[in-house]
Amino acid sequence: MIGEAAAWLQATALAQTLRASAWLYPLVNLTHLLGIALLFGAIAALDLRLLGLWRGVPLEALARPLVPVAGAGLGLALATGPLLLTVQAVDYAANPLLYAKFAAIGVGLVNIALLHRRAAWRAEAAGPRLRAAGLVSLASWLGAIAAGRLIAYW
Amino acid sequence: MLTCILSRRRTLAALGFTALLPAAAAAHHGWSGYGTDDFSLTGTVEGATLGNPHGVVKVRAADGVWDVVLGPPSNQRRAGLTEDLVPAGAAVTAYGHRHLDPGRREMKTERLVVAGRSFDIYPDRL
Repeated sequence: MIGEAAAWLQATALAQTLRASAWLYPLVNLTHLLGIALLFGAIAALDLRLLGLWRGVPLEALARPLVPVAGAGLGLALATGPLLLTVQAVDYAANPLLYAKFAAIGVGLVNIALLHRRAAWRAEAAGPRLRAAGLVSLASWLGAIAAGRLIAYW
Repeated sequence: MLTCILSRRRTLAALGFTALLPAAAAAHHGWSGYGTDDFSLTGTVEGATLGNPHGVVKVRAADGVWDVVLGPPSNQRRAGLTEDLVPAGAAVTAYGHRHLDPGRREMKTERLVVAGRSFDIYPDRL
């Protein structure tokens, strides 16, 4: 089932265009990488604050710039990732690391939803809930990046 | 106390990450994952995805379907190789080196011959 869907995806005009292009694929690839850099750079700083570093800096003051930067990075990565997937969808669909990456992204997104469900989280100073959110966030995004990078080496 | 735990955790994470790196050495990027002996494979094309991020031709041989890896798009372009020149069903012979893992049906290609036409992907290695 997944194999058939991947074969169809790989044969689409979009996938063929991306494979044959001299500049489009590298551009999409670069945008994906830029998205990851923005996401992880911003979220790692926020996660370390959630874990208890820099307690003198109010969480609200850090979250104001870091959350939108991380969000923009996540948006870029999510918009370009599926495009990269199309070019060799059959091989990627057979790669267990792809599913490890999706699982890690899923955990990261659920963690975001759980934290942001309480609007007051930014006003808190510290606590086990914030620490847990920071730890899960760091682990999930690092896991997603590591699994994603290793797809090419499997 | 917490920063102590944190730094230990970070050290562990860094160690875990570097432990993954040797896997990269045995991959299809570069030639280190492939043997030094010359190798050739003959069969028929099952399908091909050429261009980005690297070309792969699925070749049905006597012992099953092989991944015939072609290297980066720039090499394929220089060789004049495009997807429509490698249609399913075409007779193909690939010259190059096979993957170091004998259980893996994968080779990296220096010259691809499709229906009698020769494409030199890595002319400087031939």
